[in-house]
Amino acid sequence: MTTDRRPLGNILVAVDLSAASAAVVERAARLPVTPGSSITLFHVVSQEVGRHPVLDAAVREDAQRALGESAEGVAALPRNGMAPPSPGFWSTSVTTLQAGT
Amino acid sequence: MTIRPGDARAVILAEAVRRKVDLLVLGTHGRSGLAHLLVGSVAEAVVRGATCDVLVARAAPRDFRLP
Repeated sequence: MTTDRRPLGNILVAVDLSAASAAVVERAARLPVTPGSSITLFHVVSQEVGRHPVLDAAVREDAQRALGESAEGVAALPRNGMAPPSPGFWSTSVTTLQAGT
Repeated sequence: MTIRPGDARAVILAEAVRRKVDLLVLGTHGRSGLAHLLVGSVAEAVVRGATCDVLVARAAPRDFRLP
């Protein structure tokens, strides 16, 4: 049996912004990564919200802020001897679910 | 399991492909039985449909309560 030990490059963390999401983000933050890798926190806004442009904008803004705070929160976690992440390691993305996407 | 267009699960899978990610991380609430049937499982669908590695993290203890 062989073991694939390719370094982790791009990592996508999908969160629903529930209270439990923090644990998922923290788990991702503790993954052993290599220089140049990145982690993107990703949240999908519901289709119902997307039908109302004002609400959609507000929810997306809140989601971006929540993801940003989440990334900042885990960026300071101990890295267990691993090198600190490089600038741009964390990024965030919010997408509104569209009918037919 | 069918993943329809307009489904968050499909969007997550598409985003993973678009970004050419090596690993997709997501949580699961660990629902089972009727709760699982009613709510479905994003994690399960993503694991089935992903073309990259997937890490499913246990997000929380089984604290789901039906209304």
